Amino acid sequence: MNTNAKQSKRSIDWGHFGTLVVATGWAIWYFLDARSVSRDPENLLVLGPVLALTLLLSSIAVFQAFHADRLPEKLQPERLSRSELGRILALIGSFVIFVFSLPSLGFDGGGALYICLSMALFGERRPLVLILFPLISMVILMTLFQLLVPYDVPAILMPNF
Amino acid sequence: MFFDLEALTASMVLLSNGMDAWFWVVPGLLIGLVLGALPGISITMAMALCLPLSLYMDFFPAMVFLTSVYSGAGFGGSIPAVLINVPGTTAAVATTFDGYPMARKGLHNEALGAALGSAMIAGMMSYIVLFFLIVPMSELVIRMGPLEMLSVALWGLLMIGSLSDGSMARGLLAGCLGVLIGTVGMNTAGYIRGTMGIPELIDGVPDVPALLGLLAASQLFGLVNSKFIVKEGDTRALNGKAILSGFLSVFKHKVVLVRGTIIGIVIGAAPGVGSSVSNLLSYAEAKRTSKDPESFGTGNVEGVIAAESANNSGEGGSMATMLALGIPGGGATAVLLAAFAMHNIVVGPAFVDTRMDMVYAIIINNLVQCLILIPVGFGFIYFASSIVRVPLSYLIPVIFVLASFGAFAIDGTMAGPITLAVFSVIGWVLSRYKYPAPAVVIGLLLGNMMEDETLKTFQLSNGNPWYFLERPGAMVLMVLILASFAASIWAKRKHYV
Repeated sequence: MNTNAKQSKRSIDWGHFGTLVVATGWAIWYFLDARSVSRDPENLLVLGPVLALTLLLSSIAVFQAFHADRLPEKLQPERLSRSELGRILALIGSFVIFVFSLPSLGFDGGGALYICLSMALFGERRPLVLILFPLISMVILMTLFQLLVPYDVPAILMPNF
Repeated sequence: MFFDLEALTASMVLLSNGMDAWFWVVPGLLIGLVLGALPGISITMAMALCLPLSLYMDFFPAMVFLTSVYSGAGFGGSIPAVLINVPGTTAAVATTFDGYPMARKGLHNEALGAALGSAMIAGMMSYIVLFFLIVPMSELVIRMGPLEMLSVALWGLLMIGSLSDGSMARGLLAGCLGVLIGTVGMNTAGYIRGTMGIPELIDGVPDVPALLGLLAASQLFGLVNSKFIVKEGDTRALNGKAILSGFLSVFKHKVVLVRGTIIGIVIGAAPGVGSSVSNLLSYAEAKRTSKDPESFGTGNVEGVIAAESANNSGEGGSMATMLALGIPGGGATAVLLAAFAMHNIVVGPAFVDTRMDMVYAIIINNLVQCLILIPVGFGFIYFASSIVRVPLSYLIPVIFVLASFGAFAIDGTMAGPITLAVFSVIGWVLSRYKYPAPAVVIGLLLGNMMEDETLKTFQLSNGNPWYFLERPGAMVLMVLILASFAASIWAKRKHYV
């Protein structure tokens, strides 16, 4: 009994299920939001059928999430150790923080910090490299984009031309 | 006679007298290659950046310079698509599907060589077609109504089915989510949906940052546990022979090349559609008709050839509509139109009637540009390929910062970088659970177009479901689409979970 219960627990891919809940939840919310604006066919002509198809396909995908052990290897998430997954999530997290810090840190400051942190996550430990490479690459990238882009690039150290 | 011999002779005189114009070909190609290879800098932006420079040139040198930038940027977008899975332009999205897997296998030189060969040959073929058929082609294109355009969008969406590796349900679900995301904002009927009160979303989700995030993140975050893009050290070398071998491999896949070129010309000529759709269609058709469709997405050179031939032949198609009708096929030809206007020249039917010599001179010059692209592109590839020798600890952080710059460069607001970050997370989660991120990209790129054309068709037909019977062109396209979809399902019946 206990073994069966453990097996059935193992066969559910909760991460996949959670992803489906979020994706389908957003799709339903989007349709309801559109419907609250107007029920005119010109508003819902495409959204209605696409949502219906989304729900149908989600139900198939939910079935897959609940029978993860029966799926072929290429549909299974890549097996990662805790440290490998942790490094990926740290890289994603640092990128999101970098983007949201751009208005205050600018592309130059934020970019240099992000490159330094990411390099450390990739295993770079030489202090001189961790300081010099981000600085040099940001000077090059900032200069290039300040020349190319017709807008003021947010910056704290390198003023726009 | 398919061409005007007298005008052709006059064009030769024009080309030989204006030798200074030829001087601008190589700089234009190089500028285009560099700008096209920068993620977020679209072909349109590259040309717009160069437009002020052309103000100080005579008319013909200005045209030569700008069309060289156009040709260079068209191919330049494929270089980061192959090397780092980040398309330089939306027209190079499908190039990532097989180009990047080839690079991961150490076949980056071959992939880039094949991309260059396809770009050059397809570009030349499109201009040869343009040379003979400029007027009839533009007349055909102008007859395409919303229903025909809707058929084109559906044809593109059909590709989602062919991208589903393992589970068609997951591929289609990813595509549906992409379509829904693509319709967020105000539609053509004026209804605003799904914006969550964020004013920047009224114009829709910015597609370039979203696709950069989806495609880059789906592959690049996972590389944190690797040292180099190419795993085996000995295959990281720069290899001119391998580039040449990739270039020559194009001749072994003539059908893929010709089909991609035709798709590129026709779709490129249709106003408002452009290469961002044609490369997807061409890829889908190449995979559907391949004897080995399973190898697509894992590093099949045919995928690169299909995508790049359609991408680069679109230039000739959009030039046809612009020169013969004065209608820009996309942003790049709109910039060219502006350049014509700056030199007090109005293109359109009257221009083709009275200045056919100039039209021929532009076409011939573009043909020569395609030839010059071989050595220039070869050198550029050789230089760019060295990226695979850079350790990922240096490369990946710089790529993400570069992508952020590119996302910002689109409109100079934080909407681009924030969209990039949000879609990076979505892209990684989807790829972790084996949902094809490219399917979301296709839905995103075509969702808005599909809704626009559906609404226009609905309005034109007064809701009559049999309206398509009045449009034989659309009927033919619909039959082709249904046949193609049926064939795709039949081929995938084993995986139809």
